[in-house]
Amino acid sequence: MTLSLFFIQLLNGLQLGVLLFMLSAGLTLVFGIMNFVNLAHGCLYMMGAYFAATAFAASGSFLVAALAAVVGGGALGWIVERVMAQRLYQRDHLDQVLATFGLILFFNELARWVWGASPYYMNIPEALSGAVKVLGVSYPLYRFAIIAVGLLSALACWLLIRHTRVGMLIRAGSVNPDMVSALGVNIQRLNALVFSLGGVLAGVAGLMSGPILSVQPGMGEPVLILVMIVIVIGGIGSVHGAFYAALIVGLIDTAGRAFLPLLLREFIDRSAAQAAGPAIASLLTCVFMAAVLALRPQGLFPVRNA
Amino acid sequence: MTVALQTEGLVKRYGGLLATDAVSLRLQQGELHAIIGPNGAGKSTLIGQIGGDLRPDAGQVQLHGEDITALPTWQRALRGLGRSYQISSTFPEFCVQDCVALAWQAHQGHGFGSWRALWRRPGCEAAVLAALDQAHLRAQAERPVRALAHGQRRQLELAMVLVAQPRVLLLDEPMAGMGHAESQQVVSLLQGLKGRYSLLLVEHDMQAVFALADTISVLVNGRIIASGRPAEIREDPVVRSAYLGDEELPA
Amino acid sequence: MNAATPSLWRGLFLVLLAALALAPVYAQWASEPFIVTFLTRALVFSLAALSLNLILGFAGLVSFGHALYLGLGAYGVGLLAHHGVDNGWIQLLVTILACALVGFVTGWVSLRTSGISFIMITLAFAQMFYYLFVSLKAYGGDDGLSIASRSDFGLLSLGHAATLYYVALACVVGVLIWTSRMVRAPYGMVLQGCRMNETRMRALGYPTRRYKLSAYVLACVLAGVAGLLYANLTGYASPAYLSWTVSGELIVMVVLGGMGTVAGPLIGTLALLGCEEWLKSLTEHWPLILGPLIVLVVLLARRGLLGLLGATGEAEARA
Repeated sequence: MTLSLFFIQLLNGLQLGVLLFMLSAGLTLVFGIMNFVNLAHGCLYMMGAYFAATAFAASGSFLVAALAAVVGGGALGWIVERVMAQRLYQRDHLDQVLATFGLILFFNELARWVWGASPYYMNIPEALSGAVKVLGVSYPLYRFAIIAVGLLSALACWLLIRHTRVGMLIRAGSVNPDMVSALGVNIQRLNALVFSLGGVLAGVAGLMSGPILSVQPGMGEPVLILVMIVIVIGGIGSVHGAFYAALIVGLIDTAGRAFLPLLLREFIDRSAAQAAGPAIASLLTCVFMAAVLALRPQGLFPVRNA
Repeated sequence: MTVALQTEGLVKRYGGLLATDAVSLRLQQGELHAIIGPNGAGKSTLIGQIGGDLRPDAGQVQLHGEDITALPTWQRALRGLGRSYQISSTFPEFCVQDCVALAWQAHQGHGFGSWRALWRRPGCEAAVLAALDQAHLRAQAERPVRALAHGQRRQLELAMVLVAQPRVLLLDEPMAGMGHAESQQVVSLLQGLKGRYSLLLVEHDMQAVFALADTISVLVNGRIIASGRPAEIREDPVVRSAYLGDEELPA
Repeated sequence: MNAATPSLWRGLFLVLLAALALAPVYAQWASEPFIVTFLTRALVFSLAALSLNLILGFAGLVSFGHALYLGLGAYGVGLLAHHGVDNGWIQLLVTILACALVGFVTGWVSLRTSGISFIMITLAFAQMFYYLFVSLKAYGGDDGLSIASRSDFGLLSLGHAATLYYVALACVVGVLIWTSRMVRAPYGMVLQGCRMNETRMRALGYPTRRYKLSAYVLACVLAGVAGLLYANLTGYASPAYLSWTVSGELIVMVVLGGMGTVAGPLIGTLALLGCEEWLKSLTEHWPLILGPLIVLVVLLARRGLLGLLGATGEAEARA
């Protein structure tokens, strides 16, 4: 195992981490502020990817695709909130699980109907293709772009939450939602905004994932599980927690997928190790989540109380 | 006179706030010991620690001489500590007699029986109806809890505590929100319980407190500032100043 | 709203059971074997839904990983059959022990949490086992494990469609009878009490965690039995049986029928699977209709079908 291989996996882990962050940030806020279990968040990611891929295929411009993903994701988030989610804030988590489960069925089939069941491919834009040499290692430029976009979105979130009035309301809402509405803030608009923000971030994640993953119906759910793991580990409602946890989970998952098969090959045959490795990596992240839930249920980086 | 319940130096902190400040009190067997104090004095926190919902940071709680400080709520209940809540805490989907039956069942050994109906268990019907009679709720026995008026729910609270025949009762504002006539009923009910049971009562209704209590302790800012016979408490200048502008002590 | 008496509903329900008992006879006469296959699947899932109702409807525990035990039951059959053991009794014993053990451990850990955390941790455990089975290439991995021979119980072999059907029906009826007694018995009342007001239950003297854990383990074992039957129906054990979509569907079945009622899970399962079949015949894009339908049920008919019909049994005389 060479140093360069290690470094590449580190970058891959970072890339997965920032993608997970973009998806977790919105979801953890929805969990934390509205106490709403939104299983349909993966659908926003999937639709964002479809919007982007379609726009890219139609226009050839990555910028247009980005616009489609951002606007589409945000709008879809707003619609889901206004039409359905807002009616369920006062309800049991069970009701929220069921309703968003119904949404998943709907959106996956919608994708299948409109775009077909086979994967929809999106090419890496010209400007971002090719490789870059970093510390003596050749790494795809596009993946660097993902890392850059991810870190930029993390920065944008931080600026929004720490340095704007809206952000202050969001922070207050994640600590004490009742107080915020008692203070006369239009809580409905704030909620819709948070949902939209989550949709925008999910859309961007979908946009960036398009070229490297296959865009297909149901692509949201496997990622959603990972995102929920990130949120639980980070601490529900905590965006900075989501950031650190996303990086941790991204690194563990990537490292597991890359190195577990090598480790397992010592004990079992190659093809079995190849199949078992990634599955066991995923299994370990689940174990991590269960451990955090059992031992430190508020998460590793919980929301700091005012 | 044996001591039914006592606390020794109970302390409870919430961050920088000292909610319970070295509280030591004694409930004598057969007595009614009332705890009074202004809002925010820490009465609920104190009751919570005696009942088992809260762990004290320091100090002890003893039930009939046994140290129960480390015991969880349910074990304290099985050792004879009954508890009624300030905000009616019952089972909304059940009817009145189901709630009381469930309270009775807790002391009948394990509750894993899955075949014979609870109501048909020997002794259940008799015990439940007796408790409902005591709480003046017999007529409402088959009504769903949801349909009860506020005062009736307080009565249900009491019935649920009484059916288990606990040796010590922890009563958290049983008369909260009751009208005069209903309060009188509860007062005479509690009067009848004295002697057989030992009662620790938290109440705001001063008429009731001075009519019933054998001992009164005054809790202010988490500390017991005075404790003694009702007549002594009435005259105590420290108590009067603590209540100045807060509540009038009956003459 | 509802003028029908409880005895009328009971009567109707018995008619339903009679219809189910006679279905294979009808299917034979009408040469429609699909009816038996469909109803067997419905009965198997009803059994799993009935087991989930025990913890979800009665004890109020939202488990989003109940499909795990369905899968364990199926793999119990699959793994043993793969190694040449097709004795039904051994398979049943292994399934019960495995589900009881896994249920006990996961239940004990999960019940240390509540709310959203409980939902997530049950999901996490199901996912763990999902990935575990995916990783076992030797036993089919992602593709699943085909089961050559069916469970042989000596007198009965589950390889015969009608036998499997009646065994499944017997299991469902058995659980229904037990549940109908349990609802008014101490155990059922305690579990419902825990759902309604756990703090008060503890203040009354109940070690609530013990009761919840016992119900959880029981539910896991029952779901395992359902899995055993399912494997015999499909001839297959697959990681897909443990997926969270299956867990979600089980929750839908329980809630659709009427959470916390006796017959709800059976009604809900028949309704959901029947609805799916009907929608499938209308259009291949049936989830486009089913999805919003589920949302509507949550928004408007939260107490399920039995709740809509006023047949939940809540107003029944105490006896």
